[in-house]
Amino acid sequence: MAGIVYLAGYEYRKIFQRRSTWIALAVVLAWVLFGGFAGIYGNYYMEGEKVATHFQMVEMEREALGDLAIKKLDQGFFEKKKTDMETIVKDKEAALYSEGAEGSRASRWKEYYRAYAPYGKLYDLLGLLENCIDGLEIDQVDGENFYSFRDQALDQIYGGEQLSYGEIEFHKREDGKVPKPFTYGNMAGYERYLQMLSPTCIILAFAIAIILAPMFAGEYSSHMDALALSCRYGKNKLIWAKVITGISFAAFSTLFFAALSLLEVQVIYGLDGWDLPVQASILGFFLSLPINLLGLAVAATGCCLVAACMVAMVVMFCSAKMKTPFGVIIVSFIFIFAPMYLIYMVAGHRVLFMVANSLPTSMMFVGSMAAPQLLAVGGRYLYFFQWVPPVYLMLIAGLALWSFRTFQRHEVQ
Amino acid sequence: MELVFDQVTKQFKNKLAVNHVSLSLKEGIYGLLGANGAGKTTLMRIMCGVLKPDSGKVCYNGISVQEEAFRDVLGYLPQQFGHYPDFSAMDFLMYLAALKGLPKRQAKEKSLELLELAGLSSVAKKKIKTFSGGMKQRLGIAQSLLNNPKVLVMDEPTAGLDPKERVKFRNLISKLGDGRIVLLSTHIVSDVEYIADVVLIMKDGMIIHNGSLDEIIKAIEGKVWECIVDGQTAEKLMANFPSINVRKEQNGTFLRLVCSQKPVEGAVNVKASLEDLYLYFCDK
Repeated sequence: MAGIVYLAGYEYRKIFQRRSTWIALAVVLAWVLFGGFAGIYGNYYMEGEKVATHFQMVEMEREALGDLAIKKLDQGFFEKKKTDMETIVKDKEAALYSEGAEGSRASRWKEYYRAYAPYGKLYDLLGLLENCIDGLEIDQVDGENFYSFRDQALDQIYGGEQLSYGEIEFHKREDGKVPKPFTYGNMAGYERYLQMLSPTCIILAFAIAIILAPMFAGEYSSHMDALALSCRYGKNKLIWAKVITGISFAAFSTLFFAALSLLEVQVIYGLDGWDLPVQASILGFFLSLPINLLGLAVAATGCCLVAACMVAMVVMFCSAKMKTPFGVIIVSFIFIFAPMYLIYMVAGHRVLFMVANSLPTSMMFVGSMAAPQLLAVGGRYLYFFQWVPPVYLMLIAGLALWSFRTFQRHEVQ
Repeated sequence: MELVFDQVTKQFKNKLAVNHVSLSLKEGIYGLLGANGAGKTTLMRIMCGVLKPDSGKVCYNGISVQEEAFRDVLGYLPQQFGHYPDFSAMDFLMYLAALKGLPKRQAKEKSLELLELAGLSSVAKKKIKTFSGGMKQRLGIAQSLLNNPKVLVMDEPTAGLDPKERVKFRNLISKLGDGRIVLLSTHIVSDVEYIADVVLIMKDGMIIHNGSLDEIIKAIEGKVWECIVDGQTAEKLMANFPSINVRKEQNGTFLRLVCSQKPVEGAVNVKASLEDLYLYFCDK
């Protein structure tokens, strides 16, 4: 094992000595920085007048959600919302658009937004309900009927997705475990993190394809294969070292960029709402999963990690099979890109959907990893994020062995 | 110590690259000569276990060349010497030493020793991409010796070396012949002439001559002629007999050719060399 680790060190050196590696990683880094800071870049204008920076808006919302008097989405909260909207918010809004507002709009807007900010996230949820239920008006919703409207919306979604009776029952049982009324608070950090994670991991997958494509194919094209295969460890330890390097690179880079994203959102939005149920967020409002935002973030990061490792293994497998790194990059790009379109093409066809939704790129989206379509195994129902990672681990092991044999049996011609 | 080729055959599409070669190599230096496409490189790749024969087998002391135990005693310099351009010479040797299973400390000592031997000590820390062709070739030779191999296979080792470097290389290989099997292929006949104990001549995938220099030269002894003739006669002779050397001189055309009988009046029989033999068989 020590020999394999030592050789893996050289594989890392080869990776980091290539300029393409640094360019690819720089692109991912730029995206992560952009993804985090883009939300606070620039200013907010009203009637052509700058009223606040986006960062000030984020700070105000964070402060408002942190200072909530009522932290449950119950009747009391809805009543307070109604009162605030009809009195304070309405007055502030009127002052904002009044004739004398010009020149002092910034301070008036801040007063208005301070009053509105505690309810911004709730309005996002109500907007989702309004889109799902025909004829529903946001003002109709109160603490009494909020959860029954949500149940109604869930029934519509389950029907639309053609779920089986067993799946629907399972979702209802799971949803019953979610404490209601939902706890409410500052969820912006986790929402932003989960929104950033998918594109970041997809860009990282492309980078992984570029970086790992020469793992085996590079040896063929540089004529190092003859030399390597004639060495004592060329047909055994070297191949394991390459596989371990590829997988660990994918894992470390995913964790690094995920940690960087988390750090960014902690600085900008805060991560204090970790214990809020996912249902209190726009991202998990229609999920039946009885977990909190931290749990969802961990599950999503885990899925992205395993999906990135799967991409890495597929890239290395192609690299062992093909003659040049360029061909490997082309095939890998198609493999990463295709599921994003495939998923829409197979909608309505259950089996094809299950396959398309379990592909690595799909598994990088929260909506896919926690999709309502479940896998029934031995009387138990499993979400995608529960059954896909173990399947990936088995596939990775199988492809690793196949790649091993391919390079081992490679003939220098 | 014996390396045995037993009815080894390898075919690429319509070309029979190695045709039922049976051969036994013992301690000593073997020079493999043959024209382009004769099958030398294929034979060497099979010998090093990086290419599998379609039929037949190659064994070293009873161990198949596909086994790790054989690779442990093998040193190989391929015809196209691959390398990592961004590695320094020292890093490259350390990497290959790791691949060959040398402990780190021994690898460092051996790498430094071989860099010295290859005349690359002063550029040990420079990237390989800055090296000339000759320097890369010397590095290739150095890496092949890292594990103190019992079987050393070198495919065109003197390609890219200048005459001075070639002489140094020949002297080095001469010293390496003791206690190991050394097989080297080259187009440069004089390299083989100087250092090989046994000469193998390969043509159309077969070993057509196998013996010591004196033994195989006997095949054309008394058949090498030199003469000076007019242009028209020269054309005629060159069309009929394998020509070793042709040179314009003031009084006509100088010819050195291989012919079982005196080709022309005034031709002088001269001592045959390996180059005569090689060109004769390649031309045949």
